[in-house]
Amino acid sequence: MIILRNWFTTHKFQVQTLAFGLMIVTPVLMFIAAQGEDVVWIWVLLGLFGVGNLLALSVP
Amino acid sequence: MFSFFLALAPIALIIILMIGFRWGAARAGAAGYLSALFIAIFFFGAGPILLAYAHARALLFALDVLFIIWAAFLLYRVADEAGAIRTIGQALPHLTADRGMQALIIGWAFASFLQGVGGFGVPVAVIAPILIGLGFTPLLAVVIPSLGHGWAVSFGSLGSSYQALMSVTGISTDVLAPPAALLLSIACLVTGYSVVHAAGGWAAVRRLVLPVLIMWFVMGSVHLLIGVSPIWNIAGFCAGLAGLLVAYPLARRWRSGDGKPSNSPGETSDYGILDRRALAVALSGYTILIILTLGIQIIPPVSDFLGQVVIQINFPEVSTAAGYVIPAGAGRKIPLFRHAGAILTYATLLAYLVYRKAGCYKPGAPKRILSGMVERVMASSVSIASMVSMAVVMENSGMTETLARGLAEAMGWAYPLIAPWIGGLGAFMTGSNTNSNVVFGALQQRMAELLGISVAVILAAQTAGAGLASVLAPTKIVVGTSTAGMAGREGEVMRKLIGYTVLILLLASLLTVMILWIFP
Repeated sequence: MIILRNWFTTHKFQVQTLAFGLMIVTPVLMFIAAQGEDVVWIWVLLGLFGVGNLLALSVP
Repeated sequence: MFSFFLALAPIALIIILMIGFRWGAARAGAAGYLSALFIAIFFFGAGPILLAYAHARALLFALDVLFIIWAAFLLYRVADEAGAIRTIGQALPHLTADRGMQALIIGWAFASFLQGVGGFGVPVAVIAPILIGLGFTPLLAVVIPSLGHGWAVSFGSLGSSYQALMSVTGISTDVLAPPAALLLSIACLVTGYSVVHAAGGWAAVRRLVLPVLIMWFVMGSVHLLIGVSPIWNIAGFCAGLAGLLVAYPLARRWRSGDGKPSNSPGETSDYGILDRRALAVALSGYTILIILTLGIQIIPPVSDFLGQVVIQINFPEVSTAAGYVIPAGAGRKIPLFRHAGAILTYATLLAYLVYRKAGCYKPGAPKRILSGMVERVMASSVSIASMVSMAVVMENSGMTETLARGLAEAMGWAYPLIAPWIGGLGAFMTGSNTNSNVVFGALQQRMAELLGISVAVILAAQTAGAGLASVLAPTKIVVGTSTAGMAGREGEVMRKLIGYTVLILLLASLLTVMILWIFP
């Protein structure tokens, strides 16, 4: 746990960049998926957006 | 009742994490978003299509805000690398050595002026580095302009928030302006004393009673008179400009900081000789910003020309399983070349050329300006993306509506007291007076009609509460902390701001009741 925490601390910028990237790209894809009423893809993309937030939450 | 507490949970979680546990906005925002998403899906019946469109709407809102943050930070780096921030910081004590007076001029009058011409978070983003250059702590450098510009938000940004309220309610400015302008003009006095108190405690408040009163009288009167006139859209700008003009003679009179007025007009002080040319060059970046903003916003042909390219998406009608309907309509409109962020970018480029022509840069300056910038704004960008998504998911799933209705039903006859707090709640969640007015304007109007009280006064309380409380919004605090070099310490800013904001909102509640007697 402490090793993981240290890793997130030392790679703060990379983790936050990945989190931000996920939060910017997935809504665009969600919009496209919603227009095609592709529900499965929307859930997958919502999951990825959630992962972005989990990454942001993990940086001490 | 259960729904009300569920809807409240994400906001309460953010407040507890930021204030109680001193988490940064990026972490607290992510926690708030995840909780809002969970509650929206499992308790408010938000389906995948609704959520997908909600996230797309949120992306537009987030980009709207991030454009300003990135551009404001770039302007700050261009000015800082040229030594402009340091020069301004060294020059102001020549005008006045009084810390409270410095806070009043920069953090109240200048912040109000910038709010008048600029937009979301620009006053705090621009002023925080200047105050740090003057020797204020980064915490106070964010807190002071945050407090100072809150009263000017509703009629600021060239009246965009006020315009949004009129659009969603259909109430004309003839009816709405008198109570709204009056309420905010009175609140201006409290924000002035709050600025002085934050800067120097009660001793500064006692020392500067008169300058605050004079500046308030001028700014408040101008705000009120122009707010009720046909040119209400420049009320905030004119009030801030009037405040700056009256501040100059006041600063020269209260220049010593010992509490006694001074009449010595010399340019030499304990701080050495003032280099007027260096100061003019240093201020040129911000002068360019002001001229460009005014030119682009006020001259219709320029505004129309730059407003031709617009990013906007049309969204279809969607509804939750519980029957809450989001009507079809266009999302956030982003005029790409007329946006506040675009204007900041133009100002940045011109300022860079002026500073370079004046020989302010050492070799390798462009690389130093850009290096580290992305790293500095990344945490802020993550938190904005999370919090805006949370706010839009809450709004689109009916959680925001549930919160407002719960508050209204709980208060009953005492509703006027809570009206500014509902506006404040919307601004806290979205970081925007405009968004709060869009979300809660129609609800407040309906509540006033049901209770048989003045719709105009309740709507005035809505926009005033939203403007005054918007300074406490995490998304807005992040803007300030990003340029003050204290990203991740947003909880400290919120702790410092919350007491002042609650006091100002309490005053807004009392004023709402009093104004109801005047405009029954």
